[in-house]
Amino acid sequence: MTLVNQTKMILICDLKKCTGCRICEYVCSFEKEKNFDLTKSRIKVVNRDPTLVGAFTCSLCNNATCVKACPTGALSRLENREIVLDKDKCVRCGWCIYACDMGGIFYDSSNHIPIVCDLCGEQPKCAEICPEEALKYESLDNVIKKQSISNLRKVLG
Amino acid sequence: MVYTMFGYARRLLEVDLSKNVTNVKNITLDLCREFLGGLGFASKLIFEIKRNADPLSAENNLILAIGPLSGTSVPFSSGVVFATKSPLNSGFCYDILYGDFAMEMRMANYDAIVIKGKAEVPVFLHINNNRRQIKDARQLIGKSPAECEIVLRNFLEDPFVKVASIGIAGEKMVEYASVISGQTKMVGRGIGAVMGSKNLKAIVIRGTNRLNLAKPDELYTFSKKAVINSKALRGVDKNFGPIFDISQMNSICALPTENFKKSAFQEVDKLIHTLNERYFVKVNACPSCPLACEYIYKVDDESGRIAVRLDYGAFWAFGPNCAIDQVESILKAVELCYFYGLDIIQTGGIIGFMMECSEKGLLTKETQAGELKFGDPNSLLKIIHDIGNRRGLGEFLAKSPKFILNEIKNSDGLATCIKGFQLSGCDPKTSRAVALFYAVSPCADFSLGHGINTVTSKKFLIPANSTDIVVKLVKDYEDMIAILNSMILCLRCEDIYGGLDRIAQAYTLVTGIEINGEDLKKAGERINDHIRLFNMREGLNRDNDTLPSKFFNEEGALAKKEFELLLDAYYKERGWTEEGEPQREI
Repeated sequence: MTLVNQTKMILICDLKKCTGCRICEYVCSFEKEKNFDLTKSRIKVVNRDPTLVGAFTCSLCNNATCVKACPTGALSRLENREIVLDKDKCVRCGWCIYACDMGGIFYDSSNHIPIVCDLCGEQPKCAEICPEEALKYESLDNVIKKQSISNLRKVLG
Repeated sequence: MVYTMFGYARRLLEVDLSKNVTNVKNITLDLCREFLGGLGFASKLIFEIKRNADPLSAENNLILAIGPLSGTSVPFSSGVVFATKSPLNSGFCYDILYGDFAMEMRMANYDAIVIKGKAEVPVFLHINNNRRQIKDARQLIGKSPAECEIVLRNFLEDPFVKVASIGIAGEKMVEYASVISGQTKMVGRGIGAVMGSKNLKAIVIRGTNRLNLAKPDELYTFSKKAVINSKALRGVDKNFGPIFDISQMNSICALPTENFKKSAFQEVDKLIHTLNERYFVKVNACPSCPLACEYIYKVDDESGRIAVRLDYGAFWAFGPNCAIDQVESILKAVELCYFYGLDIIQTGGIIGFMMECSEKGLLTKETQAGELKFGDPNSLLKIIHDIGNRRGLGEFLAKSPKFILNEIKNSDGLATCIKGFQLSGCDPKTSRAVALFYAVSPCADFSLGHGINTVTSKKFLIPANSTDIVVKLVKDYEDMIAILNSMILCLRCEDIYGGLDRIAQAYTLVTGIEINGEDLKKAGERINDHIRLFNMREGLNRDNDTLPSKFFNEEGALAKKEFELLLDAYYKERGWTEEGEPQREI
């Protein structure tokens, strides 16, 4: 396999900026389901307590455990891209949902199928609408770089 | 024309705690079109309560109502109206619980919940879509609302349920006890006492239904546009929000200080600086809101409870009102109110009043709180513990201000309540418009100042307006508030939507019912008239449309005679009789 220089992209929520407004959930559910049914939003706001809140979705893991767990090969992932579900091959065993530690893939109980973020074709709508610009779809390298600079600033004062 | 069922669920859940039954009733289309929802529904449903019913008896009802926009994607639409007869004055009171609860109620498919009667033992109400159960809550007695939430989520094995519960103060029926949800959202004015009197410890709700909207695609566009338009008004850093507004009000001498003795507090800048440098954590938002205004600060102590929400009213109640200049004490006092479940403004208000009574030597051995005095944080924190537990002096102070005023001789001149509810936020001496707005308000509305910095509310701060302008300003603002509290839309949205026509548009996109700004205005008037008529039925009248004597006697204040003329003009503007009675058939 030829080595292609592709940067890993991630959809990340800056916990310092997220206000828990859930507008990402509204937009996602409408974009995917044509209705404001927040239980179907692929991105979910989780708050531990008033001091910590963030929006989480599929982590786009390398060697994704959900893909490995799928017994029929219904789930797949192209390199550096989103998880893809082949509905015809899916037997609704639920193993992908058990396998995911992040809660990124979950069960749609009205359509009886697992659902997961598909990045809206590389232009995630949640990141587009986020009023705080907390949600960003960017390269992992960039995120690491920014975090390193911010850590460095703290150390150097 | 036939209207199909969009937006509204058209379902009212009636819960009878005495008979231990629940029942779903139909909500008529007429009610929807004429009263909209939220406060509007409450203003009509309140009449089901028997005349002169004791607020803390089984005869009072607790009404919860969302609006047609609640839980839809429309920005600023996340609130539930709680309404009842308040123990503070036996009249109409309401407060709004912003946050997740409203969305859950929408998805559970109820527009309103009416809770009647009284349970034999402490119970909690568990609603899961169409399934309703009244369950034993004895294990929850003595727990704070935050603890209840954790215990109930574990017990019901559902981390997504939303919980609204009372604390110890509500269980003991402190007359200004509050109900808390999600750790940082509160409804006060004695609503917690009413829940406690019904032996109702908590309301737990979960909903997973699809929303049924008339024009979802257009609504989506509408909502996205509103989010983008809000960008200009956002400033989510520690220098914005309620603390900024406090600073502004202080600089124009409109910030009531030391029980309304003064209009500015010299320690404000120092307090704000310390808050921002050492205690600020972050800002949160209600669902669907792009203008986050929930400012979270650290609480510095060993209780294990780590953070608290500080808004304008909370900072005001324990800061300037009690002249406390230590940030830690203000934060701790607010945190205690969330722990016990106490209305922050009522609590800070009655304590400030007692501090002034103490200063003026009006307290006897029975009512002496020992060291209650302006600026002393230790006695402040101790008395809040006592009130929450209804022990010692807290037993006396757990009653309504009306009762307390009666018991302390010669204290009338120090009172700062309107119809039994504590004044807050903005000094009535600031302008005639502010004075009138407060005087006629049914439960000491605090949408002036209080971080609601809209174009309209700023107009109230202009001192020299003619009577015509003043009465129109007050009436229009009250009608706007009634409409927003019926939709339900947070008051901050006024400048984003720029007027009633946009709001009417959102209503039509959700419900399919054609309506315009004029219809909304008429609904606002109708709702305010109904609240007024209910209060009159319960014995409140023109004599209650006034400010405490403190505000008429002071230098530079409005003269009583001048105020009465202003009141006459206001009644005329509203189309009410000289006694302030709406001429409306209901």
